[in-house]
Amino acid sequence: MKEQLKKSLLAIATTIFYGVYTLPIYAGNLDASDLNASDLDLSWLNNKGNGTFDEAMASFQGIFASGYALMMVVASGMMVFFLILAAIMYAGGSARSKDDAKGKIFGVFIGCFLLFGAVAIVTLIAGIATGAFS
Amino acid sequence: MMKRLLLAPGLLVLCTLLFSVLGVMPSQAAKKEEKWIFIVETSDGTWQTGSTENTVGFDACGSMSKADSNGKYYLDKVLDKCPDPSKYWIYVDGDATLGTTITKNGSLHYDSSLDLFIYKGIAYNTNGAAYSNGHYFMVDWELEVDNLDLSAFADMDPLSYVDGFEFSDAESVRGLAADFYGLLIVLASAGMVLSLISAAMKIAAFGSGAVRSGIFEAIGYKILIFMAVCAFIGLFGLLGEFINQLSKI
Repeated sequence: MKEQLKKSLLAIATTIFYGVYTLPIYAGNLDASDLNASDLDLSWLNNKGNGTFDEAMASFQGIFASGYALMMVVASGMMVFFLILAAIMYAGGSARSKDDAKGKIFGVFIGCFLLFGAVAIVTLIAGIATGAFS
Repeated sequence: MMKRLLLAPGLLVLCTLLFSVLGVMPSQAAKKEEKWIFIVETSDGTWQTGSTENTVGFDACGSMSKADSNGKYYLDKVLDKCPDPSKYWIYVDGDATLGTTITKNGSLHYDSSLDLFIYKGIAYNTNGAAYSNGHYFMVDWELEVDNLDLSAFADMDPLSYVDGFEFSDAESVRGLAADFYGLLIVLASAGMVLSLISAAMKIAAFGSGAVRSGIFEAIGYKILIFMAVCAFIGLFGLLGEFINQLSKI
């Protein structure tokens, strides 16, 4: 049921994409022959714009950089805390708590990977997605 | 989960609609703008300019020197003033006595006997009946022609008028859309970084199997949406090409 719902949503979304994307072209009372690939080529979006949001973007990037630095400190502290907690559990506990501690340590390692690799991961994904169809 | 499933396509549809309007509309407007700029020599010997949409009331732009006997002209100054010359043609008034060809690569030819221009194999009417000497040469922007003083263009914006939608507006909307897209990418990237850090903290704090897989699922959806945003340009370029091919069938 859930799978069918997902498929239906995807089909609806695709239909709507197609409809809304071409609608403005035909709404302009243009012949279908007027439509060509260059109309739908949005590569100009990659060009430099008017600089409308430059100031806002610079401001946002500054704030985000500060926030990112703060979050890194907090998250790094959390990682160390949970790692120490897991180590104590592992050292002094029963067999079950040792298993729990192993899970926690594994979680901390995954967390560290995501935490310190976040920017690299996002850059990689953006690079792949941007270059995939161009 | 259900909310997320509904939210993702909804957001994508909204973004698509926005980019469609912002992206395609200026494209069509620019297409409508593929009109012509006149540089005509009027009966009193002065040179005036205008566009095909404004053939009657040309804005006078002063006198210009006459072309030399070789029928060659300088258009460099006009080229410098036009941000996207490839979209425009220019008509230069020509005195039929000067000769019939001002091109050097054969793509332009003026046939004075037929009163037609032959441009890249297509014949165009001069449509200059309002002017006694309205013989307009159609000049490809790529051409290099010599010896026409276009100093009168200094204070003129030849691209200002287009069928109720100014060229500058189209460029402005395009620029705004490009800015908006850039902003969207920056915000999406920042959001993804925060999501990953947040997920890292959750996984470290509640690192059991079921919770962890739930977190990874949520991250997966976010990554898919982020990829869709980043791949937007290429994806719709492909879609555009696909539609173009379909329209040819």
